[in-house]
This record gives sequence, structure tokens and C-alpha cells, in this order.
Amino acid sequence: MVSPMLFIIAPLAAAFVMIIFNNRGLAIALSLLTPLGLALLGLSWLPLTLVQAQPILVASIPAPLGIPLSLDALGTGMALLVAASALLVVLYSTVYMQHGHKQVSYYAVVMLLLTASFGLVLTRDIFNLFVFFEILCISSYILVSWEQDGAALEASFKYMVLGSIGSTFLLVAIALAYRVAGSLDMASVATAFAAAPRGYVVLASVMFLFGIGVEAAIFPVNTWLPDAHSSAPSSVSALLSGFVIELALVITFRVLSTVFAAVNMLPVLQVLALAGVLVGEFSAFGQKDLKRMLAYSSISQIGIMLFAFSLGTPTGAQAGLSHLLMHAGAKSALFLIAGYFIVRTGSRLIEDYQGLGRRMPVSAALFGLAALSLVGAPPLFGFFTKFQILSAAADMGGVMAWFGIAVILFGTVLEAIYLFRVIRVLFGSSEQTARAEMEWPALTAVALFTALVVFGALLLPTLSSMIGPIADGLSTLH
Amino acid sequence: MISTAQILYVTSFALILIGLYAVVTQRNLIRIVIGLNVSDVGINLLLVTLGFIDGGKVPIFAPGQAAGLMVDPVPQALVLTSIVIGFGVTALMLTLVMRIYAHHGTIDASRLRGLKW
Repeated sequence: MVSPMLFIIAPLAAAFVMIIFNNRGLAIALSLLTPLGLALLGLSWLPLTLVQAQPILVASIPAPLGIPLSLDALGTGMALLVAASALLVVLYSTVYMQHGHKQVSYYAVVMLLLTASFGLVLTRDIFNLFVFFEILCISSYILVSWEQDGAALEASFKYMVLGSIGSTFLLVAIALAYRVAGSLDMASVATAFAAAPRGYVVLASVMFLFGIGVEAAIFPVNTWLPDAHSSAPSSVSALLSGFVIELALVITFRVLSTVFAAVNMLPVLQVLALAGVLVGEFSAFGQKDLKRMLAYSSISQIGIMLFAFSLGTPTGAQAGLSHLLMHAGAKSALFLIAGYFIVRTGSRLIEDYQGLGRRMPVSAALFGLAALSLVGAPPLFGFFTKFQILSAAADMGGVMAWFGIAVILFGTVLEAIYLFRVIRVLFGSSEQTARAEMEWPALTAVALFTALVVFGALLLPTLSSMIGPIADGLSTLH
Repeated sequence: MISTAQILYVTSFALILIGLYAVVTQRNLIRIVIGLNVSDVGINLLLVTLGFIDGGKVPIFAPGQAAGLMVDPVPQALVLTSIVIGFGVTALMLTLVMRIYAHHGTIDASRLRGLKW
């Protein structure tokens, strides 16, 4: 078996090699082969990790002194999702980013983003977590500002200021943890926190939540997201909305419910999650800019996932993770297609897409399918995952759970209205009928993402046999 | 009696708060960057203070050096990493400020449409 360390080493090495040779063909080849190889690596480890988490020994120094890494079922699942999404987005970028500047650096920064994502799922050391978190943030800042126009620069600056405040909070939380535990290993910190004064742990966990929560777009600290995700190039929006915020959410939740298990944060998280759903859906409802609408919808979808996780039951965690898979596919597809809508019409406003379905019939149809799945229309994947979340909440009972169900259903109605508005415009009448479909690599990428959300329900039997151990990773530390 | 460590803790938290206050209240983008830098310094001071022992020695094993009197080397390693990351982020932020100035001719956040928050 090849060591899971490759998850961190391979994309990092690929980024350096690209920059040294500075050749577009090589950069594309490497950034397609790396996620492909890592997806296969993830698949080869999946059967083992489903049975038992696989600790990784780094530089032959064991846990208290060395930096502990470990590959558990959740980590393998997330790594597979990240690698597969990155592969498809890079495929799309080969035609979408054809005319921009400095293309080699673009692929190199995407590889750095992958390094950080894999690092975050593998690490079991809180300071190492901070380092990978910073790599993730910095590569996102760079990618958001890629177009270098006014809006992108401002959005990136805003994102950087909030991200830097977040990392300040995160470091304070780490400092508090080190003070209590005298170690940076997550397991030792968790044990030390169990015996520590309560006020101390509460302070540390709140600092941690609002520190790393910036990247996970948890409700009060998500104001950067609509600007950043909408002014980034569409391929980048698909990466950021497709897996970066989900990954950050999973890591946030996992660390809060294991390392900071001494304080019960679940009620707080439920409230923040529902506030996020409402704020996201209401803001998306009023948007005229398609990508901004999708970005606000990401805020509300993150809220739905966080609500499912914070129910604190195994069924809730499993439903949340299935929804995460669905959202990754649907939102990536929507952003990627929106990118070509903007390229073909030169406008970001929905009203200018009148009758675009006649010029790009396949893309518009795929957009419609992905949007329907996001809303939760049967028999698409989104229906099953949302249904699972609602039934998990209903099983749990209690005022908060029923209030959550009401909020999610209300949000779904709003979401259906604004997404149907887009679909109606797309399939409206138009005098322009000249075909202007996406190039085939882009179309293939989008079609594969959409296939996941359309036929995802067929995966459910396979998924349900694996989701148990994967969801366990959210509340246990192996 | 106030110990050196207590003074350092208070100073580091004060620096963090001063920096964050500057970020929230200032409209000039360069001042916002400076504010973030000030709170970075506060964090670094906090981390070093965690390993501080009054009258402690350099953490190198030598004849006559007992481990109990050495300052904790781990926070110092963390600070080194944190300084490097802070430097990188500051450089990137200043580059962005430069580009924003080239585009809009201003670095006043209240005149930039996208930076009102």
C-alpha cells in the first residue's frame, strides 16, 4: 500500500514542479494526474479505513513528540470528494481559463489548495491544523483575487481581513489548549480539557469556533462569502463552494465535538445553523446577480448541514454528510455552468440570460437538474438527503428540532422560488438561436457533477453501507 | 507581587485587542493591515509567554542544566511558524492594497463599494 502521506506530498510537489518548468501543458497534465492518482489512492485505502482508522507515523517519531496524522473513514471519504471535485474542476479550467494571465501559477495555487485540504483531514495536531488552515486561506485569497478587477480585489481584501482575524482567534484557542495540556496532540488536549476549569474550555471553544468558523462560513462570520465566491473566477467558485467550505465545516465540527467535548456546543451550533439558513435564503431571494445568488444559497446549505450535524445523533450526522456530497456536486455544477453563461452573454445579471436555453440547451438542462436537486425535488438525490435530515430531526424531537424542520422547509420554498425564476428566464423565448454550447471538456466536467446529483439516489444503498463508519469520524478521534 | 509572566500576559492581550480595535474602526486600508500586524505581535508574545519561566535557561541540554529550569521550546517553535505566516499574509495584503489603489485611486474603505461591512 502506498502511504497516505502522498495526499500532502504529491500536490505540494506538483505545485513546485509546475512553477519550475513554467509550461502550460505540463501544468495541466500534472494537475489532472495528481487528483486522479490521489482519488485512486483514496479508493485503495477506503476498505481498510472503513474497518479501522489508519494512523500514519511521520518521520518515525511517535505521537506525543511527533506530529500525529491519521486517515480515518471520514478522512478518506472527504479526500475522495476533494480529489474527484478538483479533477473535474481542473478539466473545466483547461478550457475556461484559456485566455487569462499566468495560467501555470493558477494550477499551482489550486494544487496548494489541495495540499491544505488533504492536510486538514489527516492532521491530529492542533498547531498543524492551524498551519494547513492558513495554507487553505492564503491559497483561497489568491484564487479569489485572480481576475484582478476592482470587485475581485476588494472581495479578496475583505476575505483576508476576516480570515486574519479568524486565525488570530484560532491561535488564541491553540495557546489556551497548550497552556492546559502542555501538548498539541488533539487526543491529549481533549483529555486535559475534560479536567480543566470550565470557563477556560468555554473561552477556548468559542475562540476556536469563530476562528476556524470564518473559513466554514458559519453564520455571523460569513460576510466575506457572497463577495468572494461571486467575484472569483467560476472554476474557483466551484472549488470554494464545492468542497472548501464543506471541508472546513466538517473539520470545525469534528474538533469541537472531540477536542472541546468538555463543553456541549450543540445548542449554540443549532441556533447559528438555523440563523445561517434564514439569512442565506432571504439574501439569495433578492439577488439579481446569478453567482451572488448561488453564493448566498451556499450559506444556507452550510446551515442545513451544520444543523444536521449538530443534532448530535448518528442519523443526523449521516444525513448531513449525504447532503454534503449532494451539495458538492450540485453547487459545483451550478457555478461551472454559470461561468459559461457569463462568458457567452458578458453579463452576470439573471435578466440578461433570457432565452439562453436555446443557445446552450444542454448546459441549461444540466443547470435545471442541478438546481432542482439543490431544492430537493424528487426523485433527485437532493430530495433523499433533505428528507433524511428532516426525518433525523423529527426522530430527535424537541422544540429546537421542530423549529429547525420548519425553518428548513420555509428555506426550501424560498430557494425553489428564486431558482425557478432563473430556470424560467433560461427557457424563455429569444430571437438569438445560434448554438453556443460549452467546449467538451467543460461539458464533461459539468455533466459528471450533474450525474452525481441526478443518479445519486442509486448510490444510496452503497452509501448506506459505508456512511456509518464515515459519520463516526465526526464525533470520534482516531 | 506581580510576576513578569503576568505583565506579559496582560500586554499580549492588550496588543491583540488594540490591533482588532484598529481593524474595526479604521477606514484606511494600510491602517487595517497595521492593526492586524499589531494583533499578530500580541499573539506571538502570548505564545512565547506560555513557555516562559522566570529566570529560565536556554533549552539546551548541557552539564549542569536541569530540565526544570529550561524555558519551554515548543511555543518558540510555534512562534517562528506564526511569524513566517504573518509575514506572508502581510505581504499579500499590502500587494492587494497596492492593486486596489491602482484600480480605484483610493485606499479609503468608505469610498470602496465592496468594502463596507
